[in-house]
Amino acid sequence: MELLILLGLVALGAGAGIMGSLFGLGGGVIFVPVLMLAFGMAPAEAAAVSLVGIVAGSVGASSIFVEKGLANVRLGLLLEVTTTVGAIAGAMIAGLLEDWILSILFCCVMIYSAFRMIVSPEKVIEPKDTDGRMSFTYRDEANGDDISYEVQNVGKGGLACVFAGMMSSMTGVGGGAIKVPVMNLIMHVPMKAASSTSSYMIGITAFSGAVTYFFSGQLDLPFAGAVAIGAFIGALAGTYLARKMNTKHLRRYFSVVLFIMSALVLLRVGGIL
Amino acid sequence: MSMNKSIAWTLRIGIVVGLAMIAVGLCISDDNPFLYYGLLVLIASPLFAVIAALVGLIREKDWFWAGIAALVVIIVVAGAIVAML
Repeated sequence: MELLILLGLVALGAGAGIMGSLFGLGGGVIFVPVLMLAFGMAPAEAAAVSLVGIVAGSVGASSIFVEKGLANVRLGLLLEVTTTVGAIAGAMIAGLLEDWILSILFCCVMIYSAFRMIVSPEKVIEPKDTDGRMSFTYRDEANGDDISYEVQNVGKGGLACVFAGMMSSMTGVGGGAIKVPVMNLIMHVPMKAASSTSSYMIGITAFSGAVTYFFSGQLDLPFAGAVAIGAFIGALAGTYLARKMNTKHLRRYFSVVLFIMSALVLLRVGGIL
Repeated sequence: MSMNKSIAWTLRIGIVVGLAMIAVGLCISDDNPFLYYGLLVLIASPLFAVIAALVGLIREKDWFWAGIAALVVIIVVAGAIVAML
């Protein structure tokens, strides 16, 4: 592989790693078109390499987030179940609705979430009983405070994640863009814990797809290897930033990324991308 | 070792071993066993981390969450098998 291509792939992977660790987003909407346009990959090859980048970024970030207690493993596993139920349901009913209608619906949800995250301040509920099943604590390294929170509206949040999984499997856009706002706005999980938990979850979700591409021989090994190295470097930088960043800023930047993702999906619907 | 620590170490071992093999593989050629198995180790790491979570929750006798983790292991493995068929 040429050195320039190798460096380009490492840089792209680093971008994916930062997105995954800082915002809990896989970023496939951004990286798949770049792999196709800049590196001349076919859509399936680009999707396969992107999934490996997501796994590498998620594994790198989660190895830190989980140890620090930022990523909520229990909540992540619970929402992984509900999201998968939605993804299966989505795969079963795919075809009943036009792709462009679904994509526009997904964009509307992303734009609404982004606005809500900008205009409404974060609401965290202090647990009444620290040993409760839904009570958790982590240390915010930005100010050194221990943040305790009780996850609220578990049923509603779980249902919203069924919807996220459904939309994700029908449109091909990752569910992190909905899951993080669901955790933060509906379940009142602090933004840092929500994005870190999503960062942990996207690795589990991407595993099934990545392993399938791997064994079907559709994975370009050197490209995937270079992206994985970059994603790990990006994840280390992203986890450092996420731990030190003020929550208010993190929510604002996340909203901006959601707007960009919506614009990219709309460009795809319009046949421009 | 706490559950979070065992998950973190599972992920850490997966990424370090996987990336080391990938780096060696990329230095040798575009297609070699180091690259192949390095990527396989890396891709499999999230699954091993969920298994580590399941073991940790069973050791903590936290049966509700252990049940959820077991469900995730079943879903992830079944999903991968179905997709490969």
